[in-house]
Amino acid sequence: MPTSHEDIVARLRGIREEIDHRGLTEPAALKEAVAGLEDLIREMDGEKSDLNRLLGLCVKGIRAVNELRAADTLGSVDAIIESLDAAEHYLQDRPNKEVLVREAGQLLDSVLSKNSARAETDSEEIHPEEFVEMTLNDAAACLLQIDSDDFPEMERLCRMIDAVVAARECPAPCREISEQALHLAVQVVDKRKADPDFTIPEDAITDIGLALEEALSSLSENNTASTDTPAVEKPAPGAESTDYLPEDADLDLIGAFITESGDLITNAEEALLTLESDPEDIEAVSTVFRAFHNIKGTSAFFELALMTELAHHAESLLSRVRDGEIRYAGGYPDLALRSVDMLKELFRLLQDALNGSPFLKPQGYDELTGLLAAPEAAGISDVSEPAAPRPVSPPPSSAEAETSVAEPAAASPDALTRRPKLQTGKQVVESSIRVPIDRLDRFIDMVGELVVSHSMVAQDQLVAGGTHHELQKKVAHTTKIVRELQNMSMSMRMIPLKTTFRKMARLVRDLSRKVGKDVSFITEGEDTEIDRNMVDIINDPLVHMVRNALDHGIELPEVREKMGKPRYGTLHLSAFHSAGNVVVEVRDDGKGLDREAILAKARERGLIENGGGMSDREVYNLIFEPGFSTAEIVSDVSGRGVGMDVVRRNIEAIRGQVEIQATPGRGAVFKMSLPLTLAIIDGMVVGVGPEKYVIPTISIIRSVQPNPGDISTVLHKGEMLKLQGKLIPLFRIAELFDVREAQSELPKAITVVVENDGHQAGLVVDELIGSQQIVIKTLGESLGNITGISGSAIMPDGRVGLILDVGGLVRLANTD
Amino acid sequence: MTENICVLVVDDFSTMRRIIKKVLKGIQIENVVEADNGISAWEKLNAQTDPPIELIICDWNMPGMTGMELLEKVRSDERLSDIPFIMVTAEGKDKIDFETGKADLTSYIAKPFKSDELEEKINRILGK
Repeated sequence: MPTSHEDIVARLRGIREEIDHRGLTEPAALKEAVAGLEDLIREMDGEKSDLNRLLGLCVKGIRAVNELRAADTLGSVDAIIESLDAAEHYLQDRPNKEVLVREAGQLLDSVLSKNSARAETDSEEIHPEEFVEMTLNDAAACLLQIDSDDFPEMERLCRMIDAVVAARECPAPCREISEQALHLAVQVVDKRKADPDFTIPEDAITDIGLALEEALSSLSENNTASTDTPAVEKPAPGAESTDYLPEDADLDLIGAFITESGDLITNAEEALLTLESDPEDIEAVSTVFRAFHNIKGTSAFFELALMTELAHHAESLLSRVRDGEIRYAGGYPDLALRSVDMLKELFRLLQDALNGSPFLKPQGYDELTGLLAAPEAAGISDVSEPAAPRPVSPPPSSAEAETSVAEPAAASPDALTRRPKLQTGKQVVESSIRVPIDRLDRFIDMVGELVVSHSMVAQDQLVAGGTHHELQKKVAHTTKIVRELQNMSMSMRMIPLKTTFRKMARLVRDLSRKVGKDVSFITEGEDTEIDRNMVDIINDPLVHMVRNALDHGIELPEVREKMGKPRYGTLHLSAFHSAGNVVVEVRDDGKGLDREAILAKARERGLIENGGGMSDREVYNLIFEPGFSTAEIVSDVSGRGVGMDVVRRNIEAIRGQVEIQATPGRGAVFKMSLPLTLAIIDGMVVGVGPEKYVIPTISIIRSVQPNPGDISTVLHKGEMLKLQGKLIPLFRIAELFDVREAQSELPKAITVVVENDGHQAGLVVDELIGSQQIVIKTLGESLGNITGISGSAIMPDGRVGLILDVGGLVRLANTD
Repeated sequence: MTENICVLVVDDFSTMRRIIKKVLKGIQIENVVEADNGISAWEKLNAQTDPPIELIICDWNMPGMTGMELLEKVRSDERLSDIPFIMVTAEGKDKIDFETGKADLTSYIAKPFKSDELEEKINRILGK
């Protein structure tokens, strides 16, 4: 007897809320969800095949997320939630239920297929050689982290290497070297048994490490030897299992092909977005056309049939647009963008294939090529359905805009050649080389070290003493070169935010369709440069903010009209420099934030007691508090695993700040301020007794020598300083870090007033020594979390100075 | 033995140029001048090379100046008009027949091609 629909709906909703509520980080919650779903699938067995398939996919997705296998975690969770919603819809017999279930299934399918490559290797059938390689890798990783007295770990290491040696599949050379490593490791363990005070010597670790490395490389030699004759065995379960990588492929050339095509595809995607706002842009059409065309021609040479076929169909679609046969509107833009996505996926798979995995047909491939071959048969036309509003981006200021696609002349290939000066830009790009980022990082680190050791030389008594004028001159000259070198090395890691912004353009496009809102997306300052390492860090927060703005900031067109606003909402994404920081702003003209709703939620969660006297700014920033699930207020995105507190934590981890400003009814601004680079800060060096500390210049408001009358002691809060009518808490750095011989009379000492997140505090120090650029060194694992210290720096005199964590101190002062 | 002749390879897609260079290398032609569009190809044709360019292998569809445009320019220049010209294209055969009827093309090869197809064409043109 099948369970009743209401019951299933209720359970589905329970599962969905569980995921929403507890997030991704709780494995227990997800296990429950999986169990619940599996029960449902069993109970409904055979009743609703589409639905069952969808729920099955959900289970798969949850597992992938839970085991951290998902390539796109946020996207997977979204797709899962969407699927659960669709299932609920279906069971409640709402309109369009079949379509919803199918679409949700496709979406989830495509998101999960990104995982499949990884899932493939993770699944039960681990190759024997892979086992050896994985274990050796694990052993090497374990060795790297081993402490000199961690013998249990050392024994674990022995067991791992032992397993490799014992493995039947381990090739002879690899086994021989592994045996050496094992021998060394066992020796260490034996010595410890004889002498309890024995610690693992550094060179023993090095020797074992070298042996492991050698064993690993002997494996890869073996592998390359075998890739020449790729073994196309591995009958994959069920579906597609043909390896589409030809056997005699020229791997070098294919590598070049992948790199070059990556750029083509990026350009094509951008051109497609432009084209959507200006379908007459012949320039954009030919960019996309040429991308597909080149990929088609070249992939055909390599006999990469999958790419050739897809590119061929996509090219035909574009040539129909070019020849004015169809307009780039209605269902075509989606189709073109999906082709671009599929090509990206194919190139990703191809890259993996070069590393030895089989090159399989991605999921949804046949469906897409089918659609592309005959879009009209599937009901796609250039007539916009009213249900799918089209977002517009600002029309590009192209001088070619008057070139009409409809003109017969434009249809001949000659018309495609009228390219503006873009060509010169291309030349510039081509005169660059790619350098692996880790090599660059190492280089920049070395320059940092050079700067420090150079200042040690420059400030040495022998040099600075004043008698060796020739030497001083030479050192001064070197100083100049070193500074230039440092500036240059810093700029090497800077890249423009353009790529990140483009991704957002795509996100806005897709999302605004999904939620049925009309949005024009405007970017400013996409040439603003930012440290390469920061790009990845800000990507997630940006996605978050953009989604929030679209999802909950900007209203539906009808609502906007009623409120007297233009139908089209505006989403501004801008980046600019401000006070030595890079500021990235997401501004929408939606409904702003609901102060009362936030307060109510915060009270319910026990984050605040009353909140009556809180400023708007303080209230809005409550959203970033841990435990503040903003599902109902700001965004259901926040409820999907990654909360706004994570956003803030990520940004603060790179010494950035995030804040929200909002005007009810007029919109909200999410603002991220990020340091220009991660490696250097402008710091004020201060002296406390014999010690030196660094205060980041950016947080310093002013320095004062207060009157005794302005200092008071408040119960539970310690000393307070009255400054311009406000009371701010005082920290005596000497007391905090137990420094002797420091100035204890406040009026004689100097109080540096610092600000973080709108709160101020006074730091009492002996003297201000001067401001300088500080190369940050982390404190290392064991000293990672000291209140009030965020890092260390080597001072020019060779001693270590600690960098004060102003944010932490200010928070400490305000929570006590 | 290494052929002492120079070939101009024109394609906006550098992977394609590498492919063609590889084919050329297979028939002992290592003296290759590359251009990524018609305009720079035209410049290279007009610059003195030693040995002079004796064969042009050119892509059809390129930004800046297409293969057809380059061909017309080459044919109407009396110093260059005798250089054999192979067009590489992924367009359909009909279109090529139509277009080549108007222009003086030595030969063409349709993508995708096999290394030996191109090899054979080159050898035939160079009279080997």
